[in-house]
Amino acid sequence: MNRTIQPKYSRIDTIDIQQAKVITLSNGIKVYTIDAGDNDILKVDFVFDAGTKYQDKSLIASTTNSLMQEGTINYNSEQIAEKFDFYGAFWNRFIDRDFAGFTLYTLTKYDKETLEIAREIIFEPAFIDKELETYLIKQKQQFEIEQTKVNTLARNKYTQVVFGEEHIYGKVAKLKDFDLITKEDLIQFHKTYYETSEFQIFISGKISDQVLEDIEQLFGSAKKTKQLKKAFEPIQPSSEKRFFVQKDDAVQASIRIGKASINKHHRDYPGFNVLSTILGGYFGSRLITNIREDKGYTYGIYSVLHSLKEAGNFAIMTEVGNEVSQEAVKEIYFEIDRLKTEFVPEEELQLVKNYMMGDLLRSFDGPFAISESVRSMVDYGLNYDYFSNFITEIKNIDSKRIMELANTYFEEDSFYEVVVGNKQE
Amino acid sequence: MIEFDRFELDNKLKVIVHEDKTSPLVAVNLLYDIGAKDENPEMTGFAHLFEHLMFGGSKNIPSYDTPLQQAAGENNAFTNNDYTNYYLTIPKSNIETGLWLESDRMLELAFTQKSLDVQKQVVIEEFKQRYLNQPYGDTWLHLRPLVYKEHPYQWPTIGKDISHIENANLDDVKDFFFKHYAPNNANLCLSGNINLTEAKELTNKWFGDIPARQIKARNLPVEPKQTEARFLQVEKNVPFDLIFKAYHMPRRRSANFHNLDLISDVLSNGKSARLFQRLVKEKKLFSDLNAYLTGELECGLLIVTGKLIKGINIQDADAAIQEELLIMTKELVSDYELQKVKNKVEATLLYNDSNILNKAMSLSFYELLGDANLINQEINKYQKVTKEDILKESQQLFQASNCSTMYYLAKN
Repeated sequence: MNRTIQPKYSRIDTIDIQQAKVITLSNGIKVYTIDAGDNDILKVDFVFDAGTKYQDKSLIASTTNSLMQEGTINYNSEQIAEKFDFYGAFWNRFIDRDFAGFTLYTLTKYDKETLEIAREIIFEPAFIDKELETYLIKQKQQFEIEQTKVNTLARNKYTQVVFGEEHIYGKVAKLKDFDLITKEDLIQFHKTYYETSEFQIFISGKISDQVLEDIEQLFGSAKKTKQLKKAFEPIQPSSEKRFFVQKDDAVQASIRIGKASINKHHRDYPGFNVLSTILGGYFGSRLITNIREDKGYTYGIYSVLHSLKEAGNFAIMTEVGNEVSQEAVKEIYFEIDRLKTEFVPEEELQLVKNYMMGDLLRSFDGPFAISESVRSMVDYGLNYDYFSNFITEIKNIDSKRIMELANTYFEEDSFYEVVVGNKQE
Repeated sequence: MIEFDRFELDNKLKVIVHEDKTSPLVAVNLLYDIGAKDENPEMTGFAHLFEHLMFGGSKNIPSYDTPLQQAAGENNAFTNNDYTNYYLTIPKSNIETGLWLESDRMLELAFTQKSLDVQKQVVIEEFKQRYLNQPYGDTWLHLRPLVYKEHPYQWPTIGKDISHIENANLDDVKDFFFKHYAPNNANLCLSGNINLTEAKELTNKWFGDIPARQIKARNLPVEPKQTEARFLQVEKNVPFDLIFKAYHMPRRRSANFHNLDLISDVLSNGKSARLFQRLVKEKKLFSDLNAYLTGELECGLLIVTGKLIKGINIQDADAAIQEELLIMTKELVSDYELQKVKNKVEATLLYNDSNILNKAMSLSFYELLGDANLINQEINKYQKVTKEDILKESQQLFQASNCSTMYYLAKN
């Protein structure tokens, strides 16, 4: 047995993509179901077009999303918590710039009890003053703590600089914004974006017919209207490109280098993803190999092409030793430039392809993962061709194309750079 | 029920196999019985530094990550005070790559100065990123020596001090490897799309020729019973005060563990739990407050910790916590409340069960405790806990003499 030779392995050629069964409720609401798995558990996601981009005032979208579960017409906050806890259910909320909603994990046998509470939370929240008060105190404290972290400061500055301080994607909340929130704001936001508008339901796990009946009974009757498409301002990136934010006691500097970019709808998206993975999307990436494994400047560095509905965001992120922040920045640009001028060696490209196929394989492994993948497609109004195209692109892309993409998207001087650290004199 | 098989190789490597055909992957979990507690007090942070070095290449394989990624594998590792755990998931067709990699680095690491120098830097950055550059990040650096006076749990996994990491040399590293990394000091769990026959064949093929080693005997100082309340106050550049109360509890394997776990659940598991409802929502003393078990194998802790609302006097907040704990020692919990926490635990175990990697880690963990089949006894043990058990256990636990309190105060 020769331990110096890797055992034979095969490339992932195809990925078994289990498609969701789509059920339309009486009121037109679509339910995407993935019936799989051995355990009698369910994950139910309720997804609304209720992200922060829709708010007229800072923090309204997230506060509404948070307060909904703190009391409904029939149950106060404690009772809701009691019920979920008693049935061994978990209720999570989520919100980003585009979407907001809730996820319920429940034992299949208690689906009716827990979905009833879900329905109440979504359609009949009570927005109680006392709860709002408690929530704001807690949030303000958390906000203050976050503001002491270099990576929060870097992320916020970066967002403002790349998208524009007033842009839906660039806006960052300030402490005083918490005091401007009123109950009316929340009621109004809820009415427009949760109570009357269309939404999607994703169910995964062991789905019995009873579950589907319960869903129809609880969510299928209220009249839903399609939301009017809102028009959003274009991005307004800063005219300055490089920013340094001083933080006196920082022992590490937080670095963000990137720019607004393409999203899932763009034909270059899969290819750019491959490029981003080579640069900083996995542990053997150019950035990790150089800046962590060779220089030891950091515990972690990576790049990501993040898709949003109205734009995309390509960013490189890391926290490095304060004394080496300038060197780290230099090395980041060095790696970016290399991809524009040197072909990626075939072996490395193949490794990244294998890695990405493995990643895709995992995103279709098990009902919960499959459901998330389906959601990522439905959120953008795409169909399963999105995945097959992505896979084809990964398999077929060559070094020439990678270099083309690098030259298209990594233009000279097109990046914004934010460093938050302690400039020692 | 998690069905599994167990066998041992001649070199005493324990192997556990759990077949789950619904996944296209296999999870490989390798647990070494070596943690921060086994370190020399002058050379702490070593077990964790070593975890990093395990990725620097082994005797026959210069790079761990590259061939794994070629085979579409993904991996990670963690170290704690008790053990070091390496895990990967990989498509079924490529399982041999996973076993080849893990077995070669069990056989022998490629000890290089460069690897050591770089990983020291990386770990130092990790120390800064997680413990020094975060508000409240250094909490455990203060709390551990307060709670543990003799036992090696007194230093955190990252190390007592950055200088210990800076001073690590190659000879120390080699020594550490041969004294602690061996088939007879580990267990391997394969979970997912693999059957017993395949597992036997492949583990024998790749791990069979690794010699058993003389493992440094574990002879840890025993933590003497705490006989009076302890207190520490620190002042830091943070926005809000933080309080910590730590209570000693028996070892993980003790018969009382499940009672204690449910005590922490009654106090703090979920938003309907007592501490949250009474001290966060009603009395508005804290912006968040939690009780949890550290779960350490030898002598763990039940921790109560929370961030105070600005303006609240920390002694008042402390007293409020103590009042809730006193109630646990004086009044039986209701049948409803007990049923609720049991339901929650059962559901959580079921949710965790749905993931081949979680199953692999759990099976390895329980094997470390002495019997992988403990995984199937958990629900039963929780169900057997009575209100009286909880009362009795609380009375033992929540004594002032068993408590170490830390006030982590905001400067000004």
